[in-house]
Amino acid sequence: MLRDFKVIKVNNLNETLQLINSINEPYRFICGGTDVLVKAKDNPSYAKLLVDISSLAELTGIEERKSTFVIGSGVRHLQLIKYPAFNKDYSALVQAVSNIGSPQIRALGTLGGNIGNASPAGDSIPALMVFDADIEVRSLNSNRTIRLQDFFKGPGRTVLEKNEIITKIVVPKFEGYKSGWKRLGQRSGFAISKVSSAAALSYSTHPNGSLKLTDIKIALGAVAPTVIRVAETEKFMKAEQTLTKSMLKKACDILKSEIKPISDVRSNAEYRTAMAAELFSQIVEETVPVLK
Amino acid sequence: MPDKKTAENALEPMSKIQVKFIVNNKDINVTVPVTYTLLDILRYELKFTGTKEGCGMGECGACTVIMNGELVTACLVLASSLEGKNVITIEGISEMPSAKPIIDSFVKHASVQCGFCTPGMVVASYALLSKYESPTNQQILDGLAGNICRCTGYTKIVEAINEAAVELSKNKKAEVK
Repeated sequence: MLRDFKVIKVNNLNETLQLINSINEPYRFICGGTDVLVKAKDNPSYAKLLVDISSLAELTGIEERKSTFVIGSGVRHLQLIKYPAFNKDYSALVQAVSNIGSPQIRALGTLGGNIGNASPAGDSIPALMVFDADIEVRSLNSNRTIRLQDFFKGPGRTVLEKNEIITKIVVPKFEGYKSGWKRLGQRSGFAISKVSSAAALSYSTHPNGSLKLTDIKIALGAVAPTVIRVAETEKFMKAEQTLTKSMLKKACDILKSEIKPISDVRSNAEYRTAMAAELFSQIVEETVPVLK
Repeated sequence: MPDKKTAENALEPMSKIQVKFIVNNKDINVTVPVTYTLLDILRYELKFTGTKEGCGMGECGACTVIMNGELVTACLVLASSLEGKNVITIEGISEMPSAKPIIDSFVKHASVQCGFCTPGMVVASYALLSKYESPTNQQILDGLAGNICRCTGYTKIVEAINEAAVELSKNKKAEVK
């Protein structure tokens, strides 16, 4: 057994904040364990010290507030899938987390972990990004709220300081939006995404049948060092307003010119670029079935 | 302040940990290395060797158990996160009358080749049939998506689950009468 790490088990948030404020050695949080434990087992230099936050009550639960939903960072993917309001109005999020790993993994893995892990292919991230989610971060002496879009610095890297912990994910309420998420992997279950896309949009139907796009948000996974929003494509579509198949096709061309994915073991740049546009196009066509 | 000192001591890195939890309705109290997972505790401490270690990375499902009502891969549950949890293994399931039709159906349909994935498959099937009385083929495939069979015998497994579902609902109707 190639395992060599120690564990500190913390019992509440305050204790955790004090610990990480004073600790000198490198540590990693462990909650669901679906990623951290796999790496810690494999590679003794990955983590010498794990801080087990799995029993922190402060990180659990989903709370509905006036204009937001507040999700504890320790909330498991399975809990998100079962939450009625997300099933109703946040299709992209439910579709994304329903496709993470397997039933076993979804019962263990957490939303905070999927974000903190900061994978460019993290499946929940594009879905949360199209809903303008914010990340609430605590340290012993400060609270800060960071836009999800500003949270990542690169693959596996975030703006989180050593004495900080993700406590909550805040998702604003949206009225009249439709959304979707799609990914492409080697197989449908249990594969890291080669490329993924999420989109949320709202539109109105003119008496003559034409569709007027009132808002659109598009995020892509695994096409850049972090999950990204494609601002140029969004800007083009919002300026064009009239939503048609030919407008969507033009938007896809802009989207392709806006991204510069890499080639790696899972896929190559050309394929990723083409598929990012294709996935986005499919999401729009499925969320707007009347599109002509 | 002596209190503070105790608190600090409690937060020293540990190399061993005592955990109290429940396995197959029995109270368990063990002290194990902190690097141990639920799978290690089941196999090495409690000798419940029906739960298998395949990949050890949460991908194959051979170590599937039910924890607090949900399917999990025991190889990814760290000892320190087990406190107070309620775990059911294949040994526990094999003693449940409601699981007998599933096990019998696996045998009848020869849903076993090398047998290594079978305990995990049965646990996942039990969880599936606890959730859906007569699952669709897609629900069966989704329910077993975390369990891999290297001998590629999925067809037989799906057939076994379909027939077990029929048997289970017959039993239920008989109970009602």
